[in-house]
Amino acid sequence: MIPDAATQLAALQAGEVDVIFINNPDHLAKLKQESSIRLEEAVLNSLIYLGFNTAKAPFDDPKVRQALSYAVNKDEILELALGGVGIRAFAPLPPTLPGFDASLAQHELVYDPARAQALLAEAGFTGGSDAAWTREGQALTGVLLTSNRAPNDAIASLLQSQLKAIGVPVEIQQLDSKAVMEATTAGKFDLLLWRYDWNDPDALNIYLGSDRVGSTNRVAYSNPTVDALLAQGARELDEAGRSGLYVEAQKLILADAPWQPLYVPLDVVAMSARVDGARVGYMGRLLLNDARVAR
Amino acid sequence: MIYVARRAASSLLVLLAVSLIAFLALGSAPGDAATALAGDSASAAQLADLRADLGLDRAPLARYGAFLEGLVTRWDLGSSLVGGRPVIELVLERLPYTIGLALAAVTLAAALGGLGGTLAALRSGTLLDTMVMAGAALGVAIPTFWSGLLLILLFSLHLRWLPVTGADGPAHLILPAVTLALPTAAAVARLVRSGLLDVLGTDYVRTAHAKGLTPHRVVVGHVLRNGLVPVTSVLGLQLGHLLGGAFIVETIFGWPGLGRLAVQAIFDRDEPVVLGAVLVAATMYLLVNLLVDVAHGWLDPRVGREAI
Repeated sequence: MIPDAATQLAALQAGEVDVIFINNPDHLAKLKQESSIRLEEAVLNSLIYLGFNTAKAPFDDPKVRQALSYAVNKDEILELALGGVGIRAFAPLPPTLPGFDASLAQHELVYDPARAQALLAEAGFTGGSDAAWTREGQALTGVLLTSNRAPNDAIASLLQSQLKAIGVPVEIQQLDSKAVMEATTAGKFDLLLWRYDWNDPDALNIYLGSDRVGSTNRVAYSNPTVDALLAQGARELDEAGRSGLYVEAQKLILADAPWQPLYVPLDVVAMSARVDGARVGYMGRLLLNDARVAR
Repeated sequence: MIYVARRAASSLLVLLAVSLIAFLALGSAPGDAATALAGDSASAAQLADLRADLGLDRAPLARYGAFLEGLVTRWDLGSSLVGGRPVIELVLERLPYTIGLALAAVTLAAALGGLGGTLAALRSGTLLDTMVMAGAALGVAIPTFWSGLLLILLFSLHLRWLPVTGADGPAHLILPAVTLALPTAAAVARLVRSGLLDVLGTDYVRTAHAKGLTPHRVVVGHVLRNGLVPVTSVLGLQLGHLLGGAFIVETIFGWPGLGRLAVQAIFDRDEPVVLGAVLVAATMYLLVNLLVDVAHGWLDPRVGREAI
């Protein structure tokens, strides 16, 4: 096992290994120039999102969540933090799962700093621009919690600067994954940069269902109408019907904005030219069933 | 013999304290092995069931007591909470790699540092002295993760002389050992130089020269032995430290040592593995310290008499 990404790259270039996963955009740029290395991309059943602690003021106010969502520039994140490797997300489900629908794009809270500031004013905050936003003597600020997994530090820094641009200063706190899970389960956070990986649209129930508040529903989101749609979706056998239920659930989720979906990750695998037939599955596993290695 | 017996008794107390501190430190970190195993999607009920299966629902003191009882009565370090394998098996798998790397690194550091420091002392004030000391300063300043990657770039990718990673043979040991040896060699070179310069100026060395001994006899027979006492401490400390694992170098080169086992166990909150790895590392550190003290006694009989 080779834990270090730079060593993995070196081992591939030296011919000591045949397949590696690429997580670093700089490594990807380097490998694109090598004719002996083939790159394969796979869209994952995953979503990286910015979450809000809906049980804690002022993030319990939908207008505040919507305002902060409008402050997020996803294109900037994709380009600067990910080197363009990723798919801009607008829905809580990734495009690989049933229930994803391109029409949900019209419900996206697209980058609009002016709209963000207008919403904060509507929510009763005063200030902004050079002064912090305040409401009833409380400043609008927060801690953005995330894990120390790459590229979270780059994404968190960009989110911090984008929120600061609309007058919301945010402090970044990076912990290891277990510590983040414990903190979020206990509700000890304001904003959360996190991801989920699941191979069924029931992911929405796991991560946003009311009965999962205090465990996997880290943002403590609760909407009985959404719960009912998700419960129905879990029982529905007809595919088209099931998708329709999840589309309706996602419209409500996007309006309530407990999450601002950021991007769907791509797994990029670099393989030496002598490997044929290996591919990456939707859950990021390397599938070698049909793989062959030329001598 | 009395000295060794006293050291053994105090070492047992040190090991007990080390294991307790490691246990308390790991327990204070958020999350546990159940969180690590179950992942992000487990419900509270599923986590509770898993904790019960792993015995994590017992009180911390009860868990620690069970660990100690197993160790004292059966020499059993328990089983990994994550993989289920006996901890002693996991540790013994990694130990030869850790010992091999540590010994290679310290031997290389002693040879490089000893040679460099000796030459610098004997040619003090010359260009050679300046170059050796500049090299030593660089060796101390450059972080191992950087020097390791540079060595891979040069020797593995450009020159294709050595493998990038793996642990199958002597060729795989060279780059990790050199990476680990460089900072220690730099420190040793500086220590040797200053130690020898002190000794070279003493009356008994001037007397030895006056008696007609060759410079080679003076250096080897008189100067080196007295100048090397502090170096044994540094090398001993470094060996003891490396026998606990060198996480950064093991990560860069994919070397399957104790360092990576221990750090991964910390990330996984795998209590038995952390305790086992820490105890083994602490035991080796104490053994090496004892050997260093004995070596001191041989190099300087005055120290040997005081210790006993």
